[in-house]
Amino acid sequence: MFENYLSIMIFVPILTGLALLLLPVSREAARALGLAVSVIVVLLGLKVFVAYDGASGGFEFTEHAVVNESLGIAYSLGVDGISILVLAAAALLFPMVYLLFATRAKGYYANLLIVQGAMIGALAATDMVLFYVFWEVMLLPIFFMIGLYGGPRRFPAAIKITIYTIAGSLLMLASLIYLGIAYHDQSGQWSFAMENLSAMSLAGPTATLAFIGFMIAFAIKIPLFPFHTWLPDAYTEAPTATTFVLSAVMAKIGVYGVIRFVVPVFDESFARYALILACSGVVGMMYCGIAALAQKDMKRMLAFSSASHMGIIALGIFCMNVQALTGTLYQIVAHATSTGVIFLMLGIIEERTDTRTIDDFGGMAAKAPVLAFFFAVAMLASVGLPGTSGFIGEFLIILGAVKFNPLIALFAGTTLIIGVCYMLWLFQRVFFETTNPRLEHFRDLTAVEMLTLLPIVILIIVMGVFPQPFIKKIEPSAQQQLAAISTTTHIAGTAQAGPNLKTGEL
Amino acid sequence: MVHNVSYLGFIPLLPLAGALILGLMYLATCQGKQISERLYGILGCIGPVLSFFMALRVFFSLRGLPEQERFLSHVAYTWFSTGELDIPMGFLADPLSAIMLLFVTFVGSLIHIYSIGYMKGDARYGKFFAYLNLFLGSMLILVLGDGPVVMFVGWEGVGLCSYLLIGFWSDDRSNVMAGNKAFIVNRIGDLGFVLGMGFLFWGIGADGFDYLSLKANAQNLTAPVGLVVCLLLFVGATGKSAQIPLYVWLPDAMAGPTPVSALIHAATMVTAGVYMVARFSFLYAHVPAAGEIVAWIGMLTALLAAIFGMYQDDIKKILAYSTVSQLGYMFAGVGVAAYSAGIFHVFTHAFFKALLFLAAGSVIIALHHEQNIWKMGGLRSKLPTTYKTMLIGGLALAGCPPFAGFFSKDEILYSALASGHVLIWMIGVVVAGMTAYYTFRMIFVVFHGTPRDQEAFDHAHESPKVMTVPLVILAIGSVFAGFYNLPAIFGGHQKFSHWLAPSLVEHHPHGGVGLEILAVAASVVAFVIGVSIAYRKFSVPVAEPVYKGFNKFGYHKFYVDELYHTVIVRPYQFIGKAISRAIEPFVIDAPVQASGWLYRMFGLAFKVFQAGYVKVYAIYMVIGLSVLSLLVSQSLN
Repeated sequence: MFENYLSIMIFVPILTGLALLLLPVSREAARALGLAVSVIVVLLGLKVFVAYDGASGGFEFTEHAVVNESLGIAYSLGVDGISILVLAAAALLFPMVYLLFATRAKGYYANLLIVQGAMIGALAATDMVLFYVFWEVMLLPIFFMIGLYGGPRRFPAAIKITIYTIAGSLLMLASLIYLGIAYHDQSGQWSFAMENLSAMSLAGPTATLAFIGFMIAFAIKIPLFPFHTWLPDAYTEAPTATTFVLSAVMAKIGVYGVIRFVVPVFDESFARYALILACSGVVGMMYCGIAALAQKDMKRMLAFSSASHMGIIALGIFCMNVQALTGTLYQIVAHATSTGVIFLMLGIIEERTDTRTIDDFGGMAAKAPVLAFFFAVAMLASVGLPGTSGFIGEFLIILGAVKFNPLIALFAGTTLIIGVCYMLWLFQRVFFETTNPRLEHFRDLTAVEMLTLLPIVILIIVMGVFPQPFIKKIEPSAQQQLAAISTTTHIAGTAQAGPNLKTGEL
Repeated sequence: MVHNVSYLGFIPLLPLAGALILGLMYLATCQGKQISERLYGILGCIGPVLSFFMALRVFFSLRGLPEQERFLSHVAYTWFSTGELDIPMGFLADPLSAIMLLFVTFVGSLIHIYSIGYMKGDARYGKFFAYLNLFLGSMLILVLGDGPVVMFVGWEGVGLCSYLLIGFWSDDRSNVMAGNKAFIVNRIGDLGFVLGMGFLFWGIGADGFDYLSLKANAQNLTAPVGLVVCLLLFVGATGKSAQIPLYVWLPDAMAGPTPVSALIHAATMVTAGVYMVARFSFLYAHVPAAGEIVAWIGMLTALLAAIFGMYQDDIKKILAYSTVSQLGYMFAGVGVAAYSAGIFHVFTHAFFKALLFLAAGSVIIALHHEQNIWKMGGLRSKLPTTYKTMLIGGLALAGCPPFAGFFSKDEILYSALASGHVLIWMIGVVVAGMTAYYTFRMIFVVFHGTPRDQEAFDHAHESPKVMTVPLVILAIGSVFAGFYNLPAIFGGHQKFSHWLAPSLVEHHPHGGVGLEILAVAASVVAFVIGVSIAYRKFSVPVAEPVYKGFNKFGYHKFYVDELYHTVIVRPYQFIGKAISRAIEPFVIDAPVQASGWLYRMFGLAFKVFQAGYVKVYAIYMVIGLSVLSLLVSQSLN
């Protein structure tokens, strides 16, 4: 049988999407085709996820072909513990979108297919130029989906996210070129392969600039405070599927990029600036979490909520210990499931009521108990209740933060409080209290909707109760990634800036 | 020596399975034909009752073992593990958790049975039992968890159930808000718990993060870290167990159905904080400063809540503040390192407080959901069983010898005195008098005198057997539970304290017979004074008083809720608004928007190339990328 699973997962969706754009196909056919392709990707993704062993921490399912010998650019793919869970999320979550939202234009489905392929490509690439190409390709479908199929203020939102991201991409491109030249200077050869670039020792102000270039590009994508301002507009104006893609997967690719590229390549700069970055994560979490409370639009509130969670997720990288990093890698997916399912339900609610204003709701639990139950489970995962997927990652990150810097941990821990404040208040105004007359004829989830969402709801519980099978796959790679920092970093006092709780020096 | 028994995991699992089944049944049928209440009731009671029998089995297995081997454990599977951190889904039954297990399942089962009657006719009957089961399962995880992280699962679980059950009648906005308040305030405490776990882990957790390993390594924890851990964990306890400054959620929690108040907000969940401090006695015993703070916070809470309790109109709020106050006693006990005394009060309190709440529920149902004591009166003749059982509960709460509350409270007060905390003891005695006063104020106003609302009085009737039988059983417990730990002065052997000894690190203070007699005498005098004042004021027909001066201040609970609202809630909401309306658009986003504007100006200059179709931009981008890479390769070659 074939062995290049990753290539198939990348190019079948992309090529199908392009074909859809060019061929005169009805929207029903486009949707059916999209669904079929996404199911194929799910099956391949499951195969990769299950077969991925992870004990060694190295790459599996590798593919390699030279693209440009003189420049050392290669088409090389692989999956390891850093990428396996994000890859699984990118592969497994898409059928829901096709199943839930039926009445969209052909181009909508085409763009969904292309963005999925590109995201999987970015996650599987082990050559930095290849990564960069997929990284850029990801953006285009998002631009079109928001700009063509979004809400009333879609155009400014589309422009804003696109220009913002492209600005970051250009910085990354410049930094990438610097890396190539630096590698050539040191070894006399050209290569953009991850393992080669991360083996370099970089020093000097240019290296720091390159580090900043990469970091800003990823910080925009995640987004890290204060680079988040494109997010509320984009999330709010985008059609449901796009918001879903952005929040559940694409934001995570930013986090993934930091772990995959920035940490091993710029280990010294990273360790030096970790505290500043950690502050940015924590401030962003608190800032966006508090801002969420004041939102009147449900989607905008959840957009801020999503940004708030990304702050904590990013924090896990900057703590530079295995608990926090594992926590981040776990939380990436946990958050994808909880926030993803919430945005999807929001889409369903909006289709039925034509409104997202919180004040237009009330008492929906009485009208739609199943929807309320699903929403509650996702909400509880989002606020990190033990027994749901949300707890494990958040706990590990805060635990790691205590070692890194107790003060950071204290502020990071306020996510426990900030999260419930806006979430419970939202739930109260939408699902509890007396039933709003507007919702008199609101109907509960249909059988299809219920069956579509049920697997994710179950996954939220399973990932909270049995997290170890997932952690087992990611932990060895996380260990390796950190070993790279500690062996090449000799700036004592930065990598282990935290207090020594064993000896009691606070 | 630790014995492995695999049935431990089933104790929490049974009610949890019950919750799942009931919940799915309810969800499947709530909009169509409803399942009969009887079926829900029976299914709802199976899990708790079975758990109770398994708890008995645990208790007797432990009793059959030599004292130092009384540890049963079971590791179901590895929950999560990364680096030095290894958290198994493990359960531990030792003398401490066995006692907790016993009364939690016993009182829990009775309250489930009582609810069959109390919730009759409620449209969400099935949901109620699902939540109750979920609550009990969480509480059992909390008690049985073999380390702080598993405990935290139950800890948060009961917090969730509390939220769900306080806001159970969710059509009413104020109920939901009371639920939110409970969850949020609990979460503030949980922040302390989580950080405490973090410090504890990095201190001594790498060699095993379960109680037994931590206990074995406790001496390696340095003093500053130990203090930080103890205080942070105690922050968690103040949230869950409603102590200063986080007690504010508990009185509001009375918005929930009365069985919930009995189960969660009196007998079980709120005692979790005391259990936690006792559980970590091996840490607190080494950090006297932390214990000192625990004891003071506890006793001040006891005092404050007793003051508030004297002015309440709502029968459930009187009991709520009495709970806060009694919890304060428990913390005073564990704070002065009398862990077994604190847990003993947890134990007796579970009986009489559940009894008082359920009896109050019986009154409330009899009067068609009237809770204001100034609309009651003379109910003694109408509700004889309720009256008698409530009187027993009241005597136990007020600390009348030889009822349960007397012995356990006395043990705490004596420990405070004997360990040299004279001021704490004195406040404790005063609070004992106040307790007697507000308890009998309630009983006299509700059951004695003449009816204040004749029509409600005429329609009142005693509750059905399914409700009164649990009352009688709890009343028996409230009479006799105290004898389990009779001190030597009353001819006992402190069986309860000896039983707990393997789980705790404590040294019993020896104050001598003189101090013991002093402590007992003071408690009895306080009780007599409190009851006689209440008798003089309220045994005769009195109208609702109008409060002035300090009394008005007390009636409004020192305006603490209003203070929190002004100092915390409002500013928090204001910051949220300020961020989203001012800071975000005019500070953070301003440079971004400015650059967008520049871009547009730039675009105008190149208008020639702009076709206005979005797809064209894509082509530009592809071209741009190609040109860029071409340039790069050129320059490199």
